[in-house]
Amino acid sequence: MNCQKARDLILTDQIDGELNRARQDELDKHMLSCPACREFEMSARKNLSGIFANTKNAEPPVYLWEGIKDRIAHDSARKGLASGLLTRLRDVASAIFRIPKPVMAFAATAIIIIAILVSIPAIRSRDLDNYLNEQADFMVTLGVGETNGDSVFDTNIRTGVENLL
Amino acid sequence: MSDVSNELIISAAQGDMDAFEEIYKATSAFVYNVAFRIINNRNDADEVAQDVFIRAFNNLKGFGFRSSFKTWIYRITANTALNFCKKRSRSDQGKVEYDPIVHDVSASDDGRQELDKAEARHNVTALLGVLDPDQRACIVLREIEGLDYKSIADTLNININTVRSRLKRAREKLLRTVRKG
Repeated sequence: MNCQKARDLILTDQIDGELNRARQDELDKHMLSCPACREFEMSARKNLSGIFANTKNAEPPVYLWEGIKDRIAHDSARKGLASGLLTRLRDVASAIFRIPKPVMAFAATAIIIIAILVSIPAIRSRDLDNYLNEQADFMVTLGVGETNGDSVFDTNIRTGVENLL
Repeated sequence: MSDVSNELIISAAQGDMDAFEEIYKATSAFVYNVAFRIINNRNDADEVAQDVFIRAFNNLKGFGFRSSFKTWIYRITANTALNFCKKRSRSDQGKVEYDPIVHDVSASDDGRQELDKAEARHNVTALLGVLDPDQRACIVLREIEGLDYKSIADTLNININTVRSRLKRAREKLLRTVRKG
């Protein structure tokens, strides 16, 4: 055993009484032949042994238990509220899933059909609006003489006027 | 610690606050002492000790009676205190380093000044202040609580050789500090 290993053991297992018999014999053998390690052990024991010997135990403050009780009560109340909400949600969800499947299928189909019926007139009325707007624009331009006179409509009007004359 | 019976643990696990108060009375002294010594600051020890008992209460149902109740509560205490130290060290990053000896002596600004002053004289708080939290936890469990290496390893959930190396480094630091005077 070398000095480093011996000193590691002195600072741990030797001081704390954790060495097994074989290790203890090895260390004792090294110590007999090494005055420096004997000196190291004496110094370590002297300096370390008294440090924690008279350490006073720190007592918990009297208000600690009150604080713990309050926090447990607060946490329980919060958990109770959260679990109440979860229970309600679960009840609603289970009520929905308790509806018979044919009824659910009928309801879903009805919703889809209603949605389609509602959207079709909207499409139709949009087409009608566009048509009426175009016609109104055309009539306005006709009124202010801004047509170029080349359209079929213009030709028909011109032919009609010529026939009259 | 006086014995905590299985019946008491079962009752407390079912929400019986009187039973839990009995457990608190039986364990609070060493829980508080270990928390205080690992954190090395009395004001923070209050908060950590409170967290320890809240965690214990919430996890009593999971206590399987495989280990002793004392080991179980030691484990919660050491883990909670070490987590607190790590969190505090992260939030302290970037701040100016302080001298732990000066800090610990001057930090005694509450109604417990007398004990703190006495401890400062004996340098316990200051000496623990030179160790990092992991080393401090090993020293506290060994030197103050008197646990053997196997119990320290079980409590901190580390290898027994890690216990040895932390104790060795801690004692080397303590020796250097003591010799410096």
